[in-house]
Amino acid sequence: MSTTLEITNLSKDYGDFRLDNISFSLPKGYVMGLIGPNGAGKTTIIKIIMNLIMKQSGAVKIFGKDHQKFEVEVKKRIGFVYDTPNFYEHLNLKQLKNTVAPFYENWDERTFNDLIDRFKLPLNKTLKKFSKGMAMKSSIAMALSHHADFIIMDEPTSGLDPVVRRELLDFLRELMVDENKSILFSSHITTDIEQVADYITYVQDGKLVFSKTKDDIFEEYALVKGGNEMLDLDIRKGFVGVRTGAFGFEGLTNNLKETKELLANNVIYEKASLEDIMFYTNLNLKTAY
Amino acid sequence: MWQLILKDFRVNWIYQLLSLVLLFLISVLYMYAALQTKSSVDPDIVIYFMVVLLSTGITSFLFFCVDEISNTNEIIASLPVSRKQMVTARYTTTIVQVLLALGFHFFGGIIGAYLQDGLDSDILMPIYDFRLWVTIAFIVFIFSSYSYPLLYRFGLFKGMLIIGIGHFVLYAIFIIAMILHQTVWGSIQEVIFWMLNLSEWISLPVFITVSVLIMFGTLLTCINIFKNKDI
Repeated sequence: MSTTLEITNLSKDYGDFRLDNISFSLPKGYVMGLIGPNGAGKTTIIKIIMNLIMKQSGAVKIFGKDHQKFEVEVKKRIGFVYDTPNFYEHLNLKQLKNTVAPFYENWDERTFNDLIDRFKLPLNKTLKKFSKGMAMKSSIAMALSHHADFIIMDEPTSGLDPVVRRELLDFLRELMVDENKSILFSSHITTDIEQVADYITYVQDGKLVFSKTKDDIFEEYALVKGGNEMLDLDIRKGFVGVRTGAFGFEGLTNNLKETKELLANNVIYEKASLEDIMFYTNLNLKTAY
Repeated sequence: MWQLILKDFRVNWIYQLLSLVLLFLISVLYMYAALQTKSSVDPDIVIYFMVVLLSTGITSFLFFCVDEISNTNEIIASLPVSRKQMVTARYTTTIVQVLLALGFHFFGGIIGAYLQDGLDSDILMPIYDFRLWVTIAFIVFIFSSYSYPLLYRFGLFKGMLIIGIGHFVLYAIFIIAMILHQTVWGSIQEVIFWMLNLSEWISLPVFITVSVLIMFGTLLTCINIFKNKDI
């Protein structure tokens, strides 16, 4: 299986924030969700991949090639969707398209027009009059009109109303049908990621918590609920994070098999959502500090 | 890289047109007013060329300013272009903008004179001298050459501040040196007159060569700065 993106030991130090030794890879034809709370380092990782920010150490390979040495060649095959589409706001969409299209040999006017029709975007309205949803849709139309093999989206759904968000996620699902396209999609809205991603990479405070397939994550992680009397120190240690209340405890395990061996049927096991995983991992890190 | 150059003119044509029209009007009005009072060549024409020099110098940063203010470097850098191409294209568009600005100034001056029916006035003689325009163009190129590394290194506002303070300090030193050390000023004057008295076929090519070398040197410096810069 060939890899579209391979990141090895990536580090970047800002003084007050450090992206620390991040490694993960995305196989060709899959969707990866990059999750983490605000300020976790998601945008920094994406900007390093796009060579907008310089890495301090580590390697980034896209389509098996170094992203800096083969920058132009690699970027021809990438469609990039920004978190805040800072386009030239005095232009209209048609003028913007006329500016961007000549940079791509594979620009497909028909695909662009289809997407514009589908997203119901006005070609002659200035971009400063676009809503956030329209700006995001135009950014997506731009990113997909040159038949990119690798689509990178930085928080594409944040700030969008539920209807537009749903439309966008449906559209991503359609894109996933094409087995040659890989997608890296960052968001702190975990439900969006759960719907579309095959792989999930979770970063927190600049550190990699995990990078696994969604199936593996939901096999390994689970919510465990039981009485407080069961919660001794050894059992507590086995959880990623635990919350206790008057009626018992709720904890997150990242080793469901082992926890089941230990606690058997004396507790209740529930499927953990990505939000649960983020919440309890965050809780654990806070306790550790 | 060709696309990057075209991009600057496509995207910023409205700002460019406004700046060029402004320069054109400055020249029309200045020349119209200068000929109305029937002034002598000096100092009016000297002041005119100072205005041309300053206004052209300022507008040479037009494209850089628009991209920095509208924060669009991120978008451009995500297109299939290298940082080296981005900086080289910026230098190229600056050269084109300077040449256009001088062209608009030239025709503005001529039209201003025509409106006063003074196309054959003595004041206009230096305006018809192409060497003067070439010299001004290359002075602006030198100005851009040492300004761009500062702008790329420190960004638009900090960079402009450093350039402004740097100029002020240099002028202050120059004036103080003039007042306090007549001998130093005398030597500077001697050098200036020696250069002016050189044959135009020696001084102009030497000046152009030195300017081009300075531009090339600072282009490489800017590429180096921009290659390692976070956008």
